[in-house]
Amino acid sequence: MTEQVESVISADRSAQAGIERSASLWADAWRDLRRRPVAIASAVVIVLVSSMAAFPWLWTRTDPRDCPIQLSKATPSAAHIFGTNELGCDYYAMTIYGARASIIVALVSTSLVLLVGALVGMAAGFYGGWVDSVLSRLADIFFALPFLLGALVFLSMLRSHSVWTIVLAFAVLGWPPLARIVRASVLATKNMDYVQAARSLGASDRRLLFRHILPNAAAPAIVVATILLGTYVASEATLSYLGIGLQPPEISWGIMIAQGQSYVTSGYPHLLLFPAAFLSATVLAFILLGDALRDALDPKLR
Amino acid sequence: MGGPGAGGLKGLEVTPLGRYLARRLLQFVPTLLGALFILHYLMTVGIQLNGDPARAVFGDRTPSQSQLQAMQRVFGTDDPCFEQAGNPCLTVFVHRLENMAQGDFGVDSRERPVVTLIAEHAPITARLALLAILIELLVGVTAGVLAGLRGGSFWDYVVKVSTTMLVAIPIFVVGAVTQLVLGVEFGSWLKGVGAPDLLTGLFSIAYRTDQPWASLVMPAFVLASLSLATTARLTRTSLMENLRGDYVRTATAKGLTRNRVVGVHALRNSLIPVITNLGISFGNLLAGAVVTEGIFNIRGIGGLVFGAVATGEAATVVSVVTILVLVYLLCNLIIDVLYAVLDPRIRLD
Amino acid sequence: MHIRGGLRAAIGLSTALLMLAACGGTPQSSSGPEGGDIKDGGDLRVYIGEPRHIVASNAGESEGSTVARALYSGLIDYVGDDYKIVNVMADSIKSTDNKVWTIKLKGGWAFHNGEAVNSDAYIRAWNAAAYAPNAQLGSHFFERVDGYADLQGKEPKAKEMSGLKKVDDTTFEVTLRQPFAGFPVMLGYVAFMPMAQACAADLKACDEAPIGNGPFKMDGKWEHKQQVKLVRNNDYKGTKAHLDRLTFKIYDKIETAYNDLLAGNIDIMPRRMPPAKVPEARVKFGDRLLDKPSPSFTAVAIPTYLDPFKDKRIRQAMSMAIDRKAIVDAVYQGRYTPAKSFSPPGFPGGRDDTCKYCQFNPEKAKQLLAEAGGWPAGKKAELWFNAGAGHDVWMQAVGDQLKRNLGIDYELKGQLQQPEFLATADAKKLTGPYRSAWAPDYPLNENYLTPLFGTGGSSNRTGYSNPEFDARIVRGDNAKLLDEAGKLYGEAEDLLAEDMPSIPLWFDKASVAFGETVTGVEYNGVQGVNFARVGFTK
Repeated sequence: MTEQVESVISADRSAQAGIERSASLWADAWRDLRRRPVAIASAVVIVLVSSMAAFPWLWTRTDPRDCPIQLSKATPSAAHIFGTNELGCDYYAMTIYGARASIIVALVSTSLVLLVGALVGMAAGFYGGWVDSVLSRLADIFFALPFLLGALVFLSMLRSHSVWTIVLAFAVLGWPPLARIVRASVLATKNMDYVQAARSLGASDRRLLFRHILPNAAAPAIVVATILLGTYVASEATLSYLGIGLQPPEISWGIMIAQGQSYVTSGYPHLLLFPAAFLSATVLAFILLGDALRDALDPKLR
Repeated sequence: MGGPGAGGLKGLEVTPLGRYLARRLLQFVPTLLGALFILHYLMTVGIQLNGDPARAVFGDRTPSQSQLQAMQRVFGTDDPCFEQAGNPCLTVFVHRLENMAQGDFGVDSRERPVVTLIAEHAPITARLALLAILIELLVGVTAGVLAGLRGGSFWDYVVKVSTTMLVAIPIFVVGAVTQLVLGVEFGSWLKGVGAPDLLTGLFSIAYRTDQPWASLVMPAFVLASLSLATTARLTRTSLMENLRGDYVRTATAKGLTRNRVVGVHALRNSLIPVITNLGISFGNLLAGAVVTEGIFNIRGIGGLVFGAVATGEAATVVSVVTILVLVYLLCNLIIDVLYAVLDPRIRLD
Repeated sequence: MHIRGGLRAAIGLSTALLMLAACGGTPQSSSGPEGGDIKDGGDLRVYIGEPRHIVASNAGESEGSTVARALYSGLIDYVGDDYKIVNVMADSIKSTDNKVWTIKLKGGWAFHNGEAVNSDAYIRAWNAAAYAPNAQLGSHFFERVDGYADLQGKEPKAKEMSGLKKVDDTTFEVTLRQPFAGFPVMLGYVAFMPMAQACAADLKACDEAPIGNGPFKMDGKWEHKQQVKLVRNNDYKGTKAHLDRLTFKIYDKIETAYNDLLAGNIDIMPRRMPPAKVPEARVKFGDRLLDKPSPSFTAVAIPTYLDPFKDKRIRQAMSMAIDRKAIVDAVYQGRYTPAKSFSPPGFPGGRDDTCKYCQFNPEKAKQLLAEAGGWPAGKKAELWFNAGAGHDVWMQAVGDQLKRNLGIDYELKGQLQQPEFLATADAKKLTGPYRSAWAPDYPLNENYLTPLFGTGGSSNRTGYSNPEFDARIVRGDNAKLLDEAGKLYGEAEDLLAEDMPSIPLWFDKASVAFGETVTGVEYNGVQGVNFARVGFTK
């Protein structure tokens, strides 16, 4: 009896050691990131854009849907610092309000992808056998479906295209890479001594997975997820360009860029430049932050 | 599977490679069936939710019942299951599978066989994807080496920011700007000074049948720009890792020049993951070219699927995308096998 | 200035030449030297999108009919901005009662494969087009012919319409179900072109390389999504083409084609251009950009079967609250013509001022709305259009106008894809005003009236039904002369102008742009560019 209790305590201690190890990994990474100007700049951009998405009224008091048609395609001026679009809507207000769609698509899709990917990856890696076979074949299908074409087919099926349907499309198509990362990581750790020890002491599957195995997969998964954030922002724009993304009167950078690009050579380059600059800065910020995170989390590259 | 096939399989069974191949190929079956069904289901529900594509042909003119029925037969949407939302139309699916097993991949809404469509569209896209991969190898690997030789240096940042920038600007903007600057402006100037055909082909606005390779180079650059960052990063990372490897230290200690160490030893090993990644991305390049193909008027697979999705031609979408899935799986398999052949540390299992 | 003069002369001349040839020697006064400054020969590269079909009986949409019109010659042509009807293969088209029509053909014409174009060729073509299992887009054009119904359904009773009778090799008789004065006007549409025996034997194969009887013939097969190559038909019985070759270059995106036109890789964009590029094209192309009125018509149709739209004052008020000019200026760079009628001005029977409620007058609009008891409190006007086709922009502008000028808040309902949007409209299930577009098949104002607003009209989705309107249409159908018919149809249109089952918005403009060496370009909204008259300058 006492022996058993002791063992549990010691198992817990070793688990704790594992967490401390990963905690120090994160602490190291944090220290490393703070020293990188690119990472700091990226973070600042992300915070600014997120604030536009969450509280657009902090940035503008103009209603982007109040459009006097007489002001159509005005070039930037004091009254409309980004000019107006073809319907006379204030382009600065539209650009600010357009952040929301991009950020929601990026954040929610990535969260879902992380969630689904982690669950599937863990199940496949931990249980193995037929569970692994079925899940791996399923992942194969979605992995093999070209992302853009898959999204195209998926979205064309749906009746309406809102931010949420695009999120759904990205999540349905995006989880396999994450699942593979997590699966590989589970396979690598599940036979490690400390996990075997915890198992032999009667730790439940769930406890093993979430306390002992998953933390090891977190670092690579989060790096990939950060980069995915950027990819999704860009993909939303591409879908809008192809006409199967968000539909006006919804406001998004993707729609603005897609509509504005035809006016570039017609004397209204502002219709492309402002939304494109905001979108590119956001994508760049996410990708560079992901990159920095990867470098910071990979001690080999220090 | 006749006698010779079975004999072949039997022959393979003795070798581990044969066993491995057989197992992998067997795994393709459920994956392909799954892909077929998912695609079929998506298209079916799409028709159920968004209306019969046969109706759209008539535009704003309301067709008579008889005219509509005739068009539904052409589109293959004359089964009543297409009117019940959520019905997976299993009979249609089984029928489709039976036909596919006999090599009949169906017809598009103009009643042209999908097989013919693929034969028309695939070669161009394959050329485009091949050129894109070559460009990635040339530009991406060079950039990656430049960055990897000295991590954290000025060049490292230049490579990182410039390649990432290309990802951050939407591809349709990159494509349109390239076409405008290099195609319309520079291309017209070239024509004006009477440059040779090959040169004007390189800078042509749209795909030209008389310049089947040259006029794909510019689009291939645009297509490659998307994954240039990945290639460069991968080269950089793996080069940096390899440069720290023992064998490099040994080679350096033996007194080999740095050029030789980097060029012959480290780079060769670093390229394995890069090439693997490119191989895997081949399938994605085939299909990911929707936007590029559209801008440069290239009659490719991406555009074929895009058009078929837009007009609701289920047979085309299901067949072509499934074939893309198969191509992807085959690419993966080939790479895995090559990997094992090239790297004795890896055992096929 | 000099170029402009030259161009005008060329257009005027070629029109005159065509009429001369077509009318069999009717004297026409024409100016300018024979042949003008058009050189014979050359390869004209023309932008089109991928057609759906190019065989005439199935070439229903704009791209297919552009190719078909170069490959085929029909009974009549529509010439010039007033769509004047001239005979091409027809010698005469006559009827005493508007019900039984006798068509006499000119002799000696042949298909590109040498087959004679005789009465059988026409009867064969029309039966094949009408026969439902062939699923030809031109089918509905024969609805007025006696016996059409027998060719419909999954397993039709007959393969031939009882209303078509051969008299001799160059004469045949068409019996309609009801008298229709406009019948001869329909005959210039591609669905009425003749069909060779070899083509009827295999319609699908013929769609890849149609056997026509026109000024150009196929050179090889249709290379899908790449090009359709045509060469001059040297045995053509009408006025032969100037060009040696006519190559339709197929583009996926019109922007790419425009760039290729700028770079001189194609010679002409014969119908459309990217809307955003028109202002810059005006500068770059100058006189080589023709802005021609097109009869394509956009309106907001109203579900008259729904409250509150049952009250015509509400419909009138909405119409008067929309500043069409402002929307056209903002969204279409001022190109389109704000509509003041239900059928296009310049069209036979069409007038340009029938719709008094099409005037922008917010004061009067408010007054009408008040008289009708105002807009239901809290209700939003739902504005419907099909998704993904760029209609959101102008529809939003229309909504903004209603909101500003009438205080009617609106909601855009643009999520239905086209098939379902159309089907929902067919089923009369749209819950508010909706986008309605119409392009005519033949130049007669009747084509804008009967199908859209007649009781039981084939495309009447507004639920509008007015016995007096139907009666006036029938009066037009029975008119002795075409001009008279147009006037009588116009009297039916006057009723629409009062009832407003649909709010006319604007008529489209076609933009034809071409390279420096191209000349002889003439365009009208039904026929498109007549490529037989186009050539290169000497």
